Amino acid sequence: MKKARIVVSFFLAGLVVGLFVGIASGEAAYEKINWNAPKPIHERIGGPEYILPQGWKEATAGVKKIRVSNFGALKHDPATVANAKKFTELTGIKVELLAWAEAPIVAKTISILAARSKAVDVFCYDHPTTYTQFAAAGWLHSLDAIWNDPDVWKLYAPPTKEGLTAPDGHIYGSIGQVKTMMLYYRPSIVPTVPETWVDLQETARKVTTSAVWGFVFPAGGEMDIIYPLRDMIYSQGGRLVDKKRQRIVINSPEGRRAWKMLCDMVLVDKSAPASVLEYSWMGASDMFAMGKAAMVMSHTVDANRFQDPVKAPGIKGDWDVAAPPKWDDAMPDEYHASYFDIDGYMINKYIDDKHKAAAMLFLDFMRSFEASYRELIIEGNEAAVLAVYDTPAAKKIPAAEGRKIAMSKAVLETFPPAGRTLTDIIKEHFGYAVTGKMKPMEALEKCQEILDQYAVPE
Amino acid sequence: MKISNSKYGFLLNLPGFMIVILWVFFPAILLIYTSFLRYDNIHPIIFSGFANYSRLFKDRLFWQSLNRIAIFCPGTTTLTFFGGLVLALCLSRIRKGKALLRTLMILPWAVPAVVSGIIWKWMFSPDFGVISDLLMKIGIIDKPLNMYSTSSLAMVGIIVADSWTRIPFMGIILLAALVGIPQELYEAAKVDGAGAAQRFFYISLPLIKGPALVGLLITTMFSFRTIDIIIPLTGGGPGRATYVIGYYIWDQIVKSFNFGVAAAGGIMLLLMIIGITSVFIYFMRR
Repeated sequence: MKKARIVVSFFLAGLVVGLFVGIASGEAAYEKINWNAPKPIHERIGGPEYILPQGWKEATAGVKKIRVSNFGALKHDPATVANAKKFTELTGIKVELLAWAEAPIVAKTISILAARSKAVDVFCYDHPTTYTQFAAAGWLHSLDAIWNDPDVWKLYAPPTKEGLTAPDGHIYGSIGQVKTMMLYYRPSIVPTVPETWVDLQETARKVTTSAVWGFVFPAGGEMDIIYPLRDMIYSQGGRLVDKKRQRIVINSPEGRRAWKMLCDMVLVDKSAPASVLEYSWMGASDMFAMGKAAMVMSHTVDANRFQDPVKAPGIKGDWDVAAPPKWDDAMPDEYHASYFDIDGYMINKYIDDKHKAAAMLFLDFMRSFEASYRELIIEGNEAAVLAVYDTPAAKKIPAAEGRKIAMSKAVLETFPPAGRTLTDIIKEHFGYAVTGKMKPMEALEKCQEILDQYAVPE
Repeated sequence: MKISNSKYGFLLNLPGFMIVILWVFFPAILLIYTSFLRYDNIHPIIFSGFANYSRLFKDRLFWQSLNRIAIFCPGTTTLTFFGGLVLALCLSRIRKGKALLRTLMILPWAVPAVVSGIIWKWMFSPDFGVISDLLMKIGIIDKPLNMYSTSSLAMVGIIVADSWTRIPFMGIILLAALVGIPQELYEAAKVDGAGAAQRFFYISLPLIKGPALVGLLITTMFSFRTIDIIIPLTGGGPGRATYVIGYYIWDQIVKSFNFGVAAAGGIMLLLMIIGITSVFIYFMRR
């Protein structure tokens, strides 16, 4: 009897051990990585040299290559290429960058994810609005683990956390670079830089000639009209998104003033051309570079382009840059704010666990100080890690101090998952206003009426 | 083992049948099936009957897109036909440098529609465009032409740009038909005192009718699904002035992630194309 008990006890103990072993071996490969070791995440990725997390080798064993989509040709992204190369040196995992044309990039990403294909491990995204939509579709692998250190957020500009947090409270993305806008102007035409939008409107009206428009802004490409509208609304301390109802609000007092000013510039002052309806953000910046506009709000990174006489033949050194205007003199200085945008990466949910581990490792590296440094210094993009601006090399980039200030004051609002459709509705109605199909404020109200149909009911 | 001629013929055609089944029938059935699903990539996928169609018919943008395609499709088909006809008539008369000119003629066809869109956008640009500049220099207009930011002109602009890529195709079809007409017919007509116009209307036109209808049919079908040239040119704007049904379907997939409604839109497009095709086939058989 005793013998039998001993045999049963051994059997049960074996069963328990076996169960534990089974559970342990059932652990997903990416869960074997301890992101907070050998140092807490913020120290590991925040120093001049990136430190690999503990357990990465076991987690990624057997992974030779990951495939990562990239916005456009690689010749325009030397920092991304250099970072991918460095990652390969560190880990031995090759990064195949897929140079996809920008126009169909979202369509390609949707096709792959909807087909549950494993063809691509990591996808790039150009805006939190797009990223949120992919997260809502349930196509992305959660990245909560790599952000599991409260201090890690301190490395980045304050809006980053909000931009990366999906509506379900989880994080599915990481950062490559960030963007905001500044006011570029030509000192020979605009001797005193406008501090406020009210001044800017007046200045634009005065300096417009048959050869040069006072101010240009984008209203033609996807999401483009949102750029100036957001800048003007934030400059009054307003916001565009009603988070509670997941509703975009443009008929707020701030929105009305912004809408009216943009329409007036084209229709009343004639200081901006009707062809703003054709401009993407790049088109508006082209107008400035070609010497056809006295002022433009454009991305901070455009400073690199404007200083190059070959890429900006119309201005040849006749340009300067200033902080985004606040609305009027009554507004506090904190409202010298533009929008904050994130270009980042997200991981395909359908790839195997080892590839997920490798992809997470790549994203961990790409958000590091080291990778951010290359983005700023090699390529002239904004650095996601703010401390990069304090390095000696960063002081030599064009408009360094202004860029850092602009980044620290920028505002990010994540749009609802239907954000891209909603911004199309705004673009449509702005088009009606400028082409005279509707009166400006009538177009605004009609637009809001349609936007409200997409909101969560009260 | 001996097999009959009909079985042998069937075997030879089998690979072709398989391709048609795999690339035409299977996607079409999948499209029909998807159009009856609630497939919006937010909720679980379930059978939803005609809900997608109901939503489609209630959507103002769907009706707007039908309205725009009703202008775009005849516009681009007409311009393509007459452009192709003029090109074919000219090239059928040219003897010197015939091969070179015919090669040059097909170049626009080889240009991807997206690239063509960008080219036309630059040419019509009011700020840097050669067309506005030229028209101003010769005194036809006194200020730059806002082609793609004026509602009424934007549609004309996309019709011109789209036709430019399709004219060579139509030209080739008509040229092949024209050069196939026996010269004796023209000579006999000349002897009978027929002028150039009479020779064209009574000899050329009736004899190229068949190939012309085929060209028109293909151009019409292609123009229904055009979006690749519209995206870089106008993005469907200004307002929704150039927002055709293909663009609507694209938006449902790429912006709304709503595959169910997109599939329902695709079915409507398919039905429209079948309707138009039937009309063409009726005339071709007469």
